[in-house]
Amino acid sequence: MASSSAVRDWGNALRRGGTARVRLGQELETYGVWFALAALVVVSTLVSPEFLHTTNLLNILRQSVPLAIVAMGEALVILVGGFDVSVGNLVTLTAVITARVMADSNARILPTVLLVLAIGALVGLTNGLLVAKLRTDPFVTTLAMMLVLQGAAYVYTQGSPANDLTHGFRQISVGDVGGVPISVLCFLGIFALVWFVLNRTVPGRRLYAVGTNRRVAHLSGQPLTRTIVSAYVACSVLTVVGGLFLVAWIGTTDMSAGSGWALQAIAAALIGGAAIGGGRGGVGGPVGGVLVLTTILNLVDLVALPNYAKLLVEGGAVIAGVALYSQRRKE
Amino acid sequence: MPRPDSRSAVSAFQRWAGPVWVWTVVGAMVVAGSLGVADFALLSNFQAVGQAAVPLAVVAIGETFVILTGGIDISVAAMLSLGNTLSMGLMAGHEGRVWFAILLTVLAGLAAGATSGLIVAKLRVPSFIVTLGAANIVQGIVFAYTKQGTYGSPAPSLVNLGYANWGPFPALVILLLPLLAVALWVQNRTRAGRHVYATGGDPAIARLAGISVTRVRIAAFAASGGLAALAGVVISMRLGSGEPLAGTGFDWDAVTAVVIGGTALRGGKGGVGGTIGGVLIVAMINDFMNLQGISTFWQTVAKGIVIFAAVIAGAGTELLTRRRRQLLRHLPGSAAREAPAHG
Repeated sequence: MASSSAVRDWGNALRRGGTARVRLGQELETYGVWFALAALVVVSTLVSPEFLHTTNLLNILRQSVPLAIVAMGEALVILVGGFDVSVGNLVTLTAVITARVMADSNARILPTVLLVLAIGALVGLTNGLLVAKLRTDPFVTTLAMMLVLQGAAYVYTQGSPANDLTHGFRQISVGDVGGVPISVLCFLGIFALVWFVLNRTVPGRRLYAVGTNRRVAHLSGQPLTRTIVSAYVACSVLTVVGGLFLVAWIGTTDMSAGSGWALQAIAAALIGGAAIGGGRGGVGGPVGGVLVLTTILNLVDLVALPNYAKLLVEGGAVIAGVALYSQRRKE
Repeated sequence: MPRPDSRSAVSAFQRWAGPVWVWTVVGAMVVAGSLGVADFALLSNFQAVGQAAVPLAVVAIGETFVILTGGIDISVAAMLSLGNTLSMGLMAGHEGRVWFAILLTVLAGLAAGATSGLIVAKLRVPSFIVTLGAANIVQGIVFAYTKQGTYGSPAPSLVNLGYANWGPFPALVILLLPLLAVALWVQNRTRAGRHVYATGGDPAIARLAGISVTRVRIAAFAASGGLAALAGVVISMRLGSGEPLAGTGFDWDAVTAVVIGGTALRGGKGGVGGTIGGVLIVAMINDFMNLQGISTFWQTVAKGIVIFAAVIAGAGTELLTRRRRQLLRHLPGSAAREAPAHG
């Protein structure tokens, strides 16, 4: 039973480029999260009058950008049936390396960015090759990577982070053009690029094929290893990009910069229509998932709940969101 | 076909003690440490390793059962902090409250774990999402309870039990033995234990065989929560107080120990015996590094590399057995052994 429906799904995945109705069904899968966001906005407006202020809304957007980029990457890995719990510590490592290497010099912006992107690609390549070639468990593999990255960040900084980021670089997260934050514009560009690759190119469609049914994809001549590795590399590179926006946003780095991000990114992807095991979802839903999470945390700030309440609310929201979603899918 | 004696002996060993290679690695580490690391081969050092390993062992035993059912429990670190602060808060240095505090703490852990298990089993939410969320919630409760500071204190009789030795053996290790015996007995000699393996091996088949997969999963998470809370009590004997972040790192260490100990993350394979080997490997790595004066920063990196090595070794042996099987199939004479149905 399961395998025949998997074959059907995969047939749909192949046809998805052509049939409008199937594509609409796909998009509908990710609508839930936007309804949730709309409901949340209504509730927030009722609870706190400050919520609808332009500054607050722009603040939510700015805060969402780094995590949203990471969540898109995580969604790609989950799409091919994988998993990456190392994203949080890759964000931290990106932040501390950027803050140290770039320091106060505008001339070092480009080399630093290239350096951290290369590190990201290497991390993704390692994760991807182990998972795809040696068939190791994605969870344990990326868990090991997480510890290595965490240790590397500590060894590199000896626990005392630097915090003098050059002003020019910080503009990507704190600056704006005509009232619109630069980070949001950058995000739209990155989102459009990832969306296009995923939905309109052969390698992108392969992610769906491999995630839906690895065996069928293999038998029909899709390159498994290359597809899986590319998803992990894309995830790690996007994570590094998210880390760059984060460090530009907060300006300082401490060792907890990316703590909790693995949970948030995975939760956002799942709330946004991804399914563990692969083959479902896109990159739009996870962005909605991030907006939901950020809005909830923003609300906690606005009504001035104590700090630990954030932990309670976030944990509860993640479980509830994913639980609701898995119920909806079953119907 | 009756198996040769040597093989059944090996399989009995594996059922109770875990994969042979785990204990080979443990043995090799003891030999290498004795030869290469100064101050390793001292009774006092072995005692210290044993004492330090017990809290992790308690957590990892519970984690083993969850992973055997095909789940994972990331909330054990927060649960340990909860157990640590709650038991110390309840005890508050009073001798008469020891058992009351421990009982209530373990019950709290059981209840919290069972709640996670209920959500996993009934709502079909991936267990690591549930337990990561639960970790946030429990840690938030711990912060609220302790006002984010050191909280409570152990009864005088518990103070320093964490560093005591009874004869040549650390007190904590001796106290661990009954727990380990019960865990092994449940795993190998009870219906519940077989249900755990069946659930992890293939939940659909287990359900068809009349096993309440839901109940097995809830029980496994409850056990994990209860044991993590109990580990919180144990660690108070070493810390001498309740610390809201006492459990930091125990989540990944527990998963590491279980996986190194040969329990498969997809469930149904492995056991508590191997986990104890995994705990010893983790504890000895920490000990080597401490003796060599290597910073805790590098220790994290080393742990990651050890997991990588374990994962690669596991994947490698699996590939090798698959190849060997394919080879055997092509050898004359072995065909009968491989396919006795035609004989």
